[in-house]
Amino acid sequence: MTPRRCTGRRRADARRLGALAALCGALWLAACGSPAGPPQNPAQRNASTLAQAGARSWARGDATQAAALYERALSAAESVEDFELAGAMLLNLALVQGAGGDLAGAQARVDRIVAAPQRYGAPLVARASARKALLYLDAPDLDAALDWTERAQAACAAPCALDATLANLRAHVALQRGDAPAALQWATQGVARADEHGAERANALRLSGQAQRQLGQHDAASSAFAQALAIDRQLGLSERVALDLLGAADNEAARGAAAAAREFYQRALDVYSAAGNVRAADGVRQRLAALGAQR
Amino acid sequence: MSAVPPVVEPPRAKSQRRQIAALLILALLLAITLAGGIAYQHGVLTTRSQVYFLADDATGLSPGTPVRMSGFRIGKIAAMHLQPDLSVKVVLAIETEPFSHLKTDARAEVVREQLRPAAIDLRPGSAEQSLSEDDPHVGFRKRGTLTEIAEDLRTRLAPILDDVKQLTGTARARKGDIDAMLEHAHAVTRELAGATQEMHALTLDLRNRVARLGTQGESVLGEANRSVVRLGNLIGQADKSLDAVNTRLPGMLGKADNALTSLDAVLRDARTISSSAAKGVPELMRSTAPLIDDSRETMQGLRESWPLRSMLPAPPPAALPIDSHDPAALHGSAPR
Repeated sequence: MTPRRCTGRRRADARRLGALAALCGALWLAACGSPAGPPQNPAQRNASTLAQAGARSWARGDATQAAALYERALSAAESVEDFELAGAMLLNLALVQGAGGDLAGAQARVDRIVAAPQRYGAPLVARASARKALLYLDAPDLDAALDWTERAQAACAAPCALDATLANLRAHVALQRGDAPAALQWATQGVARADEHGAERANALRLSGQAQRQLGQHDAASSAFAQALAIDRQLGLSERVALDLLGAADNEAARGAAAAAREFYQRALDVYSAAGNVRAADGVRQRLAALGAQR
Repeated sequence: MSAVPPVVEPPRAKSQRRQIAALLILALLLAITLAGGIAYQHGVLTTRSQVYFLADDATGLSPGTPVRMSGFRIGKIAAMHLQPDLSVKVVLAIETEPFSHLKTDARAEVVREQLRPAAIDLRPGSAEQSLSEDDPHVGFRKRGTLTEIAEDLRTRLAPILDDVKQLTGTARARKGDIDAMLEHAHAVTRELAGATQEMHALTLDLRNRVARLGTQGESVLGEANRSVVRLGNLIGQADKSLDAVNTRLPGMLGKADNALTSLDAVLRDARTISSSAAKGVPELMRSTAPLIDDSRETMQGLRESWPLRSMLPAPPPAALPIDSHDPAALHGSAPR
């Protein structure tokens, strides 16, 4: 072996070692670069695990199991005075109970947060106020809903994550009161303040489409429903997909395009039927029948 | 001596003497008749019997006081004698015929009416034996005058009137209670009437049920009779079956004995296994919880460790988002 050849092999080995070291360094940096949450005690870890299990139950439609898991998570969080997690659990329980029709129970959950702002903090109070406003929509008490919307807005520090939600809420109240221009204004604000592909943007677009349909702006309404439909389909929100289709169908029916309306109604009916929402499917059938009678 | 010539009375003198004699005879006859009448009036001509009674005092009585029976005068008080014990023996002289009606419980009552003289009313009595002629003692009762009766009434009525007055006052004071009692009594009466009607209905119902039970009982008895006949047949069949069992039972018992021996061995094995499990399973169960905790910790660690952390989907957030679509009012069909 000549010295020149030996020198070349050493250089190659050094390059390999350097590359290996660089690779290890990159891996170490990647491992360290991942975000690590704050350390949690066993009770908090238990509460978080229960809350995640509750969220999965709620996502698959098991409200009873979700409520039970959230209760246990609430107890675990309160046992170590983790107010942030306890407040989140109270809000979750308010959502579950409100969806089940127990509005008084839901209000009681939220009132615990609203009554102790020094304990739960302004962000949670803002979310609790927004939840109260949403519960008052079901009451239905539109004045109280608007009142708590304003309180939520006041408690939510900028940049407020609830801006789009609160704007949509106002748009919904305006629609309920028959004030389509105001509803369109608030819905437009909701579209502007929401995430680009978030559910709240789809909600704002749907509200915008409804307001525009009432104002006779059928093309704009059709476009809004189409955008909302695209977002909801992407998010996999079956019920809202059906609502977008129904909105589009109503818009087509309003401008006299019966065939297009029937097409949208049929698609909505298919979605409801596939999702097992028999009651809503029956409602769509009635609309289809009414459309046939108008011909 | 010379003879005195008879005096010749004039005819007028003779007539006057005859008239005087006739008047004297007539007067004598009248006197005798008057005396007889008076004697008759005084009972001289009638036969009399005597009875007596003893009185505490003889106030108002005197010899000659009339004695009556059934309103007719039959005699009078003949004599009155004070006795050593200061009682008065009053002897009554009465006609014989009324005496025969007197019984041993006959009694004399002094009757004093306000404006009439006292009299003795003789009551004959109702005993079977007649009054003895040797000792004609009758009872005596002194009937009071109106004043005495009034005094007696006053004495008797005064306490009663006091009680009535007191009761009236009490009743007036407790009028409310009495009203309530009357009301309650009225309500109870109404309830009793209702209860009576219910009892009546219940009785009718019971009568109907008993009638039905009677009918059913007859049918049941008939059925029972038929069942007894069937049972007799079954007993005959059972008798035959028992004969068959008697012939086959010894062999079956031998087989069962073998089976029980085998079963006993199996149970011994099962007991051994159970005792082993009883020791091991609780330990296993106790070690399960820590094992699950360890597994959860391991899974949590793996989930949070690189590079799995980047491969696994992010866990759902603890807090559900506040969505403006949450109200149930928005879940139905879209507003038109």
